[in-house]
Amino acid sequence: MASITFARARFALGIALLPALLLLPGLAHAQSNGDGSIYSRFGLGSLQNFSSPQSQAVGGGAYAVRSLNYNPTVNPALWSDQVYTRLSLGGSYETVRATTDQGNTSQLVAGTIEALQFSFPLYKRKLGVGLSFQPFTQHNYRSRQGGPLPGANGSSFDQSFRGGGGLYSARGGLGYRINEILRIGASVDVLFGILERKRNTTFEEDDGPQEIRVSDKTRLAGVSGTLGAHLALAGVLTSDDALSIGGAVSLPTTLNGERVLIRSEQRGVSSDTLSGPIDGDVSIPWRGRLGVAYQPDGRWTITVDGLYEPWSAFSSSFSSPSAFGQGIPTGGEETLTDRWRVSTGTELVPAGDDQFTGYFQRVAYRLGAYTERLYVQPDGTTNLQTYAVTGGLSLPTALSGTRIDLNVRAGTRGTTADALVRDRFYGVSLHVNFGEEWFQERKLR
Amino acid sequence: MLYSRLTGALLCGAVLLSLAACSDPGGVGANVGREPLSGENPSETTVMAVPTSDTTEASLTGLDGQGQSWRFLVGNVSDNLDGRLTNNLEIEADGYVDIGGPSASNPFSNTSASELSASLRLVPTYRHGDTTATLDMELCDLQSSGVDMGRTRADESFATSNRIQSYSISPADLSAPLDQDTVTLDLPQSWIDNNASALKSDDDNLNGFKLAPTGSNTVIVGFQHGSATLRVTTNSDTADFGVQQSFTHIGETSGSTPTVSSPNQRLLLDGVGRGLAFNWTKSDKFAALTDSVVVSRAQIRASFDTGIYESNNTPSDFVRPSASDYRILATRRSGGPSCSTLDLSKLNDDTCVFPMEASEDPGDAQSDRGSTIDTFDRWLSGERPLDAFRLGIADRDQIPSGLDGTTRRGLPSTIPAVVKLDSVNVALTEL
Repeated sequence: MASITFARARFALGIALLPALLLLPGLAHAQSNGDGSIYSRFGLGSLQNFSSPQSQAVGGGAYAVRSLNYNPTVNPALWSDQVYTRLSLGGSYETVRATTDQGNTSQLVAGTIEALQFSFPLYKRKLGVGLSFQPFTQHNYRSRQGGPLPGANGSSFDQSFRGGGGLYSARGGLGYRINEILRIGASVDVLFGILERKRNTTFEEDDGPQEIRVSDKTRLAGVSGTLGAHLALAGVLTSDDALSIGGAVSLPTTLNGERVLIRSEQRGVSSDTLSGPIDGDVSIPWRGRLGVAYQPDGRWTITVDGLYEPWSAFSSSFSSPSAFGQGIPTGGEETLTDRWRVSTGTELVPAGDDQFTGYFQRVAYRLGAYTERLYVQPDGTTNLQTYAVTGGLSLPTALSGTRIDLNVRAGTRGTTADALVRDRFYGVSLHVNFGEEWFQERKLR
Repeated sequence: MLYSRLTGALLCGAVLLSLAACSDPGGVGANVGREPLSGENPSETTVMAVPTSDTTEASLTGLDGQGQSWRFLVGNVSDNLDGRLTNNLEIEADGYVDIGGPSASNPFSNTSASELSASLRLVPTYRHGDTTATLDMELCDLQSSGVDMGRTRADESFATSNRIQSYSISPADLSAPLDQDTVTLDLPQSWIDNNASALKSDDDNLNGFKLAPTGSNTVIVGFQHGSATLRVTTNSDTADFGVQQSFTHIGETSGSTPTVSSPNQRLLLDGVGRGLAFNWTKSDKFAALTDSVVVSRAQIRASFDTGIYESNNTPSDFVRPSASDYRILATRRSGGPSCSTLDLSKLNDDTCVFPMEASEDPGDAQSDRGSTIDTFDRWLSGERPLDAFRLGIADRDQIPSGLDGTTRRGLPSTIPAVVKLDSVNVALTEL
């Protein structure tokens, strides 16, 4: 029986790793296949917020929700209570429709890896290990412009601007349950990646180079850490309820790297390093998360969460544009402001803890909402706000620890005032969470 | 069953991620922020070339072989470009033709020389000067048939053995539109007697002729190389001896070299080989751009005073042909990249030719952008690939169909052009 279980586990692992292995090489250069918000051009890109499929469906928080079915990455204290060895892989597809105050619109779509997570218990329900690899920021703007070439009679040009890459977070850590009430955890977070700004210029006439491609690449890497804690209280208001408080603080750090401006080889022009490489660094502020989860019974979970990051203290030695044309961050350090985020959500599992009821009774139904003030102010004065609703279904499978999660979200970001744009975004995510008691002998009962 | 569902779910996820971007970005977002994307517009900067001292470089005016539109010139002309020059431009042109064998089997092998008549038949295709003037010229025998006219420059000449006869070509014989007249120069019986064996042979035994102006001509006429023929006839038969090679010696006979009165203009003269030498090595503006800008396009440009081709000050009987095209030559830097590496045509080991934008407009010379970018891209990156530039005239009978055609030498001519020095520049499109 045990050998069959291990065979299944290996098979499941193979299935899970196959697309991951196929996709990972691409991650080295572009975590997102497609295009996203113009606001990802500012700062270090759009900050990503994924913790777990469950968290995503209830507004992106759930920092205090313990679960045997997920491996939430933002609070390492939640890795303590593990039973299953877990592998989770998910991606999303998102459409962004951007609008200006003059009614001009663009439609951008992207497919994105959201996370690859792996966790297992060292001591069941006592000490657990968590590993994850996921985007930290996304840098996938896209826009274009064209017009007559100044000074050249009758000549015109067309330019395409695209952001590529982004920063990743590779995280590994431990969660430890001190007692029934308190859990703590810590992780080491390696941040790395490439922010790439690509500009393709074409000209109307065919007697020049067909296309000029210039790429501004900034490679960054650094190490941070996250400390988390979780408090679980039972029987707070009723005999069946539970109240959890969870929080985590990611430490500030500095990312070091180099920046280089390269022109790709095209007909008539040779590949050339136009500027750099120059060395520099950027600072990443601390990030604080705090969440409360209340479970009146085994069926309902209600969450309220908050996040804060003082990006106004951000500094970058790449902020001087020099020959690159534009600095990092775009527009200067004054275009960054403090970020905060508030979310709330609820989850209903009609069956509660009963694993022997009908299928749809065991499905988890989730709903959430959040608002977030972006950490970027492209014009240096206007705060940008995101409002969104989220939802999702968590579908159980025949393996008790394995679920398939389907989440959706919709919202708006930004404003059309002050020559900015408003994004309306719609997204769908699919996550597969494998969980089995690998590496643990089953006991005959 | 479970695993097939999981596999299906994973495949769905993979499909989501691999969706080709169906984005329609438009221009939305380009103006967002303190540093909008629109601030990265390409812009054009022009950098004036600095004229340098030039020595004339006589054109290659010879052709060995077929070339229907090629020409050889004969005559003199005096031209002051409607008063633009400090003194008159005095040009003299001598034509040389190397006569080959008969085009078909010679029918006169047994014919007596006294029965033969011979004439040189020439089709005029070019005129510079007074269209009412008579063209006085003489025909001389070339001393040798072993000359190489095809690689000979216009300042050279070939020795003659004896003068054959003088001719006066009436303006009436040249009055028809170019290509429509045929001028016939009858050769004297004495010449026929002296060359009887060659005229009755199937071999190429004739040395050829020099056509030299005599007296004070005021017109230079060009004759078509491809149709020029020595025709030998009897009462019953005809044999045509075609031209195998032709060449034109062109020289200035002015006592002092004329210049343009305006200090901002420079005289170019085809044939004689007066060009404009220029460079950017002494340009402070160009030096300031080096290593500081990235260029996506480059084009060398020059403008000309087209008034000399259309001025009302020109006598109505005076024809001054206009430049149909120009050429820009550049000397390679020692050890620098080859012409082909720079996307240029090779004239010789030391000289490259810039392909030009083909046009018949005598008012502008513009290098081909696609072929010019690499030179200036390298130069602005700190690698100077070329040492010196030279602008000259290239007369063509038709607009070249391809870039290669714009790099070839022009037809022999005495065409003048006046270049505006403040218009010679390189236009650089900065990213």
